[in-house]
Amino acid sequence: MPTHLRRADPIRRLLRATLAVAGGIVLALVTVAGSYAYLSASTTVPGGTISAGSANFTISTGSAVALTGLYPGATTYGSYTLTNTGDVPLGLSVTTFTVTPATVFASAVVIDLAMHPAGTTCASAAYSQVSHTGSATTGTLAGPLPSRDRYTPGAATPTRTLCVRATLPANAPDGAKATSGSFAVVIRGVQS
Amino acid sequence: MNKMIKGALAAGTGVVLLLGGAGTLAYWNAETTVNGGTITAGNLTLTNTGSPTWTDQTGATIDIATFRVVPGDTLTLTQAVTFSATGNNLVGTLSLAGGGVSGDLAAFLSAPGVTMTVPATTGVTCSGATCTVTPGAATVSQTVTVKVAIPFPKTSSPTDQNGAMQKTASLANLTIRLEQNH
Repeated sequence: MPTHLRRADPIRRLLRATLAVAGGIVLALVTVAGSYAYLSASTTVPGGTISAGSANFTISTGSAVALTGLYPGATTYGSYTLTNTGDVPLGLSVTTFTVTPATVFASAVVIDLAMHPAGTTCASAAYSQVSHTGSATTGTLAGPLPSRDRYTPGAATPTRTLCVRATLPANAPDGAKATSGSFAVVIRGVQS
Repeated sequence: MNKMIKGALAAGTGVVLLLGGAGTLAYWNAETTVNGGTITAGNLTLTNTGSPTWTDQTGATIDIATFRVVPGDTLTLTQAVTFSATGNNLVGTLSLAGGGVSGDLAAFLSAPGVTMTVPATTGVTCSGATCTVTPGAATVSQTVTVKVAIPFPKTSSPTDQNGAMQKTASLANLTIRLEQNH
């Protein structure tokens, strides 16, 4: 080997060793600086699913009111069952009341509505809630229509009796005779 | 004997002696024992105490799986959590995260109120939603109460909330964390 190369060889070895050490120091510093250990603890509180209820009720016919065969001074009765199938008590109001066809009879007949406890005998019940005659409807249904017990799964759905009384007044005009009609009522329930 | 030879022999002998002496050296030394000891690490623990409970605005306990929420209700989830911290130089932070509400019903609900109530405790300082725990020489242990209140408000119009009927919302899990500051 030439002399100038033999003298340079130890220097290269020393340089390589120095670079290796420096590299090792850098590597050690980078590695140590990136890792920490801290104390920690955690726990989880489980959430859950929240379900909304509803507002709803139904009307079923017990004994229908027939606006036929009425004469001045006569009264006929009918009963219907109101069932709250939702989760909130409902205040009930009559929003629409129509008697058809629009005849002298329709204008003269007086139709009263009253909500009473389930099983009430409508022929002997009180009628001081809603009254319709001609084109005017006055009063409100006594309420609310109660809902089931939300705290008791499977609780029974409450019902009420809607009593209907139709009367042809004694002073009904002569044009009301020999006619008949039908009526339709829209009842609205609002969470009370 | 020739003087030179004697001198050489003496020198050689001395060298031999020196060479022999290089194999046996004497140094002063002394020693003592430093007693060791036991090193004990600090600790952080956090556990739920009992089961979570759901109540409504009247305070009545409800079964969230069967209860049907309606406008005007406020449902509250409550969970007790016990923590302890040990460490002479430990400084930790107790925090609460999570409890968001999602799902079709979420739009009709008010934002949930998430709270963590910590009784007055030596070594615990609370500010806002987090608490700093510094046990010092003693172990700090306390039971905190985590609550999430979810209101389902009534509105002025009776039909505004009709779209919420029979919809559902999910309350996400909450995470309580006690972590050494760093």
